[in-house]
Amino acid sequence: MRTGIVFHPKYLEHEQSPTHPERRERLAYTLDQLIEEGIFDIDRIMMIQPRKASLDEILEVHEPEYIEFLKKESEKGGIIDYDTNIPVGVFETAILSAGGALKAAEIVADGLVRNAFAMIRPPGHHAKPYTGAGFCYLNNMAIMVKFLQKKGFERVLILDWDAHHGDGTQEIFYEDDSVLFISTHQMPLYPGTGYPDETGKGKGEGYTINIPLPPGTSDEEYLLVFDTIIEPVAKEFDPDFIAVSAGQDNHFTDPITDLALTARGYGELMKRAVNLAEKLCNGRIVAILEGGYSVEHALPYTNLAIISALADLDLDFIREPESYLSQLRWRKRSYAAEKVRDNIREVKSLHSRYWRSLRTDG
Amino acid sequence: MIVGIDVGGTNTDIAYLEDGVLKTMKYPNEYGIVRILEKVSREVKLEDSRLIISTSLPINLISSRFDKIKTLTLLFPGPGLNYKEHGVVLKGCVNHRGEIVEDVDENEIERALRGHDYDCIAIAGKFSVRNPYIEHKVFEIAKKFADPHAIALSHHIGKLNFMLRLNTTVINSKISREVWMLTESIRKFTDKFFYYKGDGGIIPWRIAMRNPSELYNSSPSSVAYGAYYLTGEKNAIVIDIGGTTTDITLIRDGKPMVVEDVSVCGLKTHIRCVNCISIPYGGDSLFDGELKPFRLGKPLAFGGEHPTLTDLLNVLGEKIGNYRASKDGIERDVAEREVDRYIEILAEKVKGFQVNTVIGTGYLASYIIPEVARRAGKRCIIPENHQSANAVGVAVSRISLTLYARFDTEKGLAIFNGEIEGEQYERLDKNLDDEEIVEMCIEKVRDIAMSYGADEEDVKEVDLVYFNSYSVVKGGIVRGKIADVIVQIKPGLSGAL
Repeated sequence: MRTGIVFHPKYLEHEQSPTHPERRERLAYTLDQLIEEGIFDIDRIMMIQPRKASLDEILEVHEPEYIEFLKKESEKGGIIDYDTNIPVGVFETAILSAGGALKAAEIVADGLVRNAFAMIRPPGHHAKPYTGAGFCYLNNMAIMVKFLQKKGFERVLILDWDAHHGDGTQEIFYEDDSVLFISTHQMPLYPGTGYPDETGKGKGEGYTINIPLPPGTSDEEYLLVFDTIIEPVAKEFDPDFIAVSAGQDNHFTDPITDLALTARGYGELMKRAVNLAEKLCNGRIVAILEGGYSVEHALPYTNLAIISALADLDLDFIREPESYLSQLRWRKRSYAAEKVRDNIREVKSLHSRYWRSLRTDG
Repeated sequence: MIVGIDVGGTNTDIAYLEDGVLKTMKYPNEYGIVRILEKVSREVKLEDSRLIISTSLPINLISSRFDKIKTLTLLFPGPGLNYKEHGVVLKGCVNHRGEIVEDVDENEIERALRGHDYDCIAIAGKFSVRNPYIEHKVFEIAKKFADPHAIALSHHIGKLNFMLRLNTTVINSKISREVWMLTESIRKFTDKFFYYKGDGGIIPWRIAMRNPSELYNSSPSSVAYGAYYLTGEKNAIVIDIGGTTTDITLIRDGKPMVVEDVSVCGLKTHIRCVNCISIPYGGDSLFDGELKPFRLGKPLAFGGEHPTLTDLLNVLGEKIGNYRASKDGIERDVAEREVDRYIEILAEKVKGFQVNTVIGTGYLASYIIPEVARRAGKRCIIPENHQSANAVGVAVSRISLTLYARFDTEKGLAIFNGEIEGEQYERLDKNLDDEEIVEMCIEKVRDIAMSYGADEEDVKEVDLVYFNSYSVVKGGIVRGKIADVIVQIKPGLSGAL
């Protein structure tokens, strides 16, 4: 069993501005940690070069007018929204980022590796067919899922655990019953969507599951959500492929969110997702990097956690240094546990009419 | 005067070089380095000469006694992967920024040092190249339990990759004491001498003591540079017939190819050395009806007790050493068959290369290599002094140092590691730009090399091997810059010749 890591030095170059949260430093520290751990010397880990996404592959998701706009603005620089400007040359990096997700899907689909992690930038899950948003330009996840479906993997489970709701991805598959989109995210928080009653539309009704989490949510509650909602529904849906929007901004040191997940928690979550893939779809799972802005204190450890879980390495020593733990005590909220239980109940009651597996224990 | 000495598997070769005049000598290893240096010091004034030693001691120790020398490995990995299989995992951790984020527990360390049985100690902390504080602290404690020359610290290796650094440190721990003893015996003659590295550069002995694994497998590199110096051929296949092996090395543009991350005894390490194909036959390979891939002793022609490849050549009419002693009871056609088989093995290997010239070195080269080259369809050169091309290569090489530097301008700190005498910290001006950082490293490596007597000519070209920098942002403000830099004075022929 091998794990592919898709990465390119160009992912370090993208920068909206030197002080923007989504900046090159994000992967620089992580890379140091991975190199120091000797990750790339482990036999069952393969470093894979991305390719560029083709225009056709992008147009499966995005509207030609938007792509034309992005390409043009990227030549001289421009702006999409308050959080998302268009630095010169971003189009090239964005298609390499989307291509990184495609490459990860390709090597898993072709059996070159068992699973893969696309360690790509810029992220994608806020990007909608007609616009970029929230640090995102192209929806890497959606482009990858469309590609997988063309390859014959009809039913795809998207698990989006970025701290922010993956509104772009949700919108793209909102009326689609071949893609099950499950998102956990902090609420309230940007972009303000992702309420439990957003459940899908038309044919896609019931195929969007939103599980909002209150500030202070920590490992135990995340795993509870996984065990009580994600796992049973995933089994019932029985996907051909699992794709994870593995945002890392739910870490307890993230400067722009208020969640309290630990590196070990990431490892355990990822391990559960990997186990699901093993049970349901021959281990086929791809994780894509989305957000995550605690560049020094979280990302080196959380990225390592994700890779370790994918590659079935020992998670026992995956943690943060002790001196960071005081921040966790500040972040964790005792009321979060109860609020999460309430939310789980609400999601279950809303979705029990679509999913038999959510009916049993009420 | 430059004196290059190569202590090989069987023989010790010496090259004297002064004003372009070259003289070489060969002694059997059984003389021992002290007796050989006594002879050398009668010829030249060692204190006024540049003495460079290439030694097979590390490779011999590793291949013969790796498992017998017991290492206690103390690890300080902090968070991350599980390293328990590789040593005793203890408290204490440096993070990627070089900050101490967990301190060591001195009692725990003492317990580990008391509770195990060992000959030497390897100490390795994650990110120690960015802050060696923990390794130094543990060293101070470990000194109470073991000879300091049998303790190896990982940060001297300079590079990131904890797993490889830890493996390299284990190797260093096993060879440190013997390399130190060798060093001490050479220092009786002069305190100013150099060791020859596996990649072909030379470094002052003080620097070598911090990471003696760099001396591993230096012979192929010395032969390649020697062959280049003796012939001026920039592109050639060098075949060196030694006592126990025959080594084939390719030189391109006057340099042999260096391989990184060499595996030693199943451990992937930070060791780099010259790529060579080694064939397990040489002049001393035993003949007992057929040629065997090992050595029992000297050839009959040199007073040995068993016939060898050298004796077979004498049976075929050569006059090597006391050639009459070779001929007892060996049939000519058997000798012919075995020599032919050996030549064929070499010719087959040589055919695979895209280069047209073969340079033969080693004391049997003139008897064997012309035929190898003929069969492979290549041009053959057997240069003068070919018997000791290895020692020539050692003599003609330049001081080559690699400097690993990390700048953290937010903390106002630079740390220099690698081939320098102990890591160095330097306080920084906050506003260095990328060019100034690189320039500072180049100046530094030049200064260090020149302080050790490097020729000005040799330090002119310093390669920037690696550069990466990015801003440190906190609270939306750029607070500083982090840069990683590797600069190197590349191995090569010294311009002072």
